[in-house]
Amino acid sequence: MKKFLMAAAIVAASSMPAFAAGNSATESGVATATVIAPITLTHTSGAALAFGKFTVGTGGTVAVSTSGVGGATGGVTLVSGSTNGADSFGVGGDAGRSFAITTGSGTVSAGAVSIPFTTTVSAPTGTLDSTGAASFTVGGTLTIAGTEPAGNYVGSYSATVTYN
Amino acid sequence: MNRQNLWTLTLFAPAMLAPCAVHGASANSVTLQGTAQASVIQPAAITRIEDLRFGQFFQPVANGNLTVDVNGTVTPVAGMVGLIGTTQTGTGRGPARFLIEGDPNRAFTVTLPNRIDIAKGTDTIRVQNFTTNVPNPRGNLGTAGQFMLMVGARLQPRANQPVGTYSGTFTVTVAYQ
Repeated sequence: MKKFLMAAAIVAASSMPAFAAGNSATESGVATATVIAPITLTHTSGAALAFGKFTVGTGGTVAVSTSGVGGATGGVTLVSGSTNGADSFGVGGDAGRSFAITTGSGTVSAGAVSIPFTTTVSAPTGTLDSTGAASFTVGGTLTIAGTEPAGNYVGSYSATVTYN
Repeated sequence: MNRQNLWTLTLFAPAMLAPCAVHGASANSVTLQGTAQASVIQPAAITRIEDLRFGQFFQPVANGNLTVDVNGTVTPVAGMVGLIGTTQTGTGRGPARFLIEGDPNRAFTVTLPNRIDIAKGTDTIRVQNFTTNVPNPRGNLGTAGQFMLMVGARLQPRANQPVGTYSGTFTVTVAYQ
């Protein structure tokens, strides 16, 4: 009889709580999200697509490379004191992300007279570096009729960068 | 009582189903062998396989939602529309996965929180409306004793949510039914 009493006491002391281990299990999950900086474009201060100083002659072109080297063709002649330059832009955004670059065409005008130009970009795509920065340059070709009067001609064109 | 009689009594006992009187050689006591049984079943276990990934998206200018469901379908709403199409690097975008293992053919339910916040320093984004692929009202571990649990939820970024990677944890509990 005594043996039975002792056995019962041991069982009672070790009985599991109502919500027994083994009947349920718990784990932690992880949720993540990444907010990406929007892409930004800044025009380098003082930069411009500079076709230089020239006489129009019988017409022709002035071409400026994306590294800023200029040359005239046809009847157009660059004069002493002329300087050429490529335009320059900075790109900002998510480090390591790549983007596409497109540039449009435009005209330079003085009063009612306009001279058209097309543009070229240093590369059609770029990749933001580890600091989230990149840059590119823009050259172009100015097509001169030969009838344009003397003057300072200015104009603009669009440059667009888009994340891939 | 001699030993011979006692042996004879024991052999016959299993064939006689209780309750019936057993007359022992002694009038004072009788003994029968009863049967005791116990089945230990495999405990429920849950293992994390993959995180709940809302992926990369551009900084919103208006409040919005991004829902990732258990099938991987992604639904942007309001301020999040148009911001999620960028090439995903890293772990991509999709529901969380957990492997539930346990006793074959046993029913179970899964419990998740109502909502959590994921954080980057002191900046937070609310995550709520957790969903799973567990059938209603309960799942079943099937003959293999396994179930691949998928977990989706809704992310609620706000206008001008600060740029960066946010992370947080949520607790998943599986219980036998």
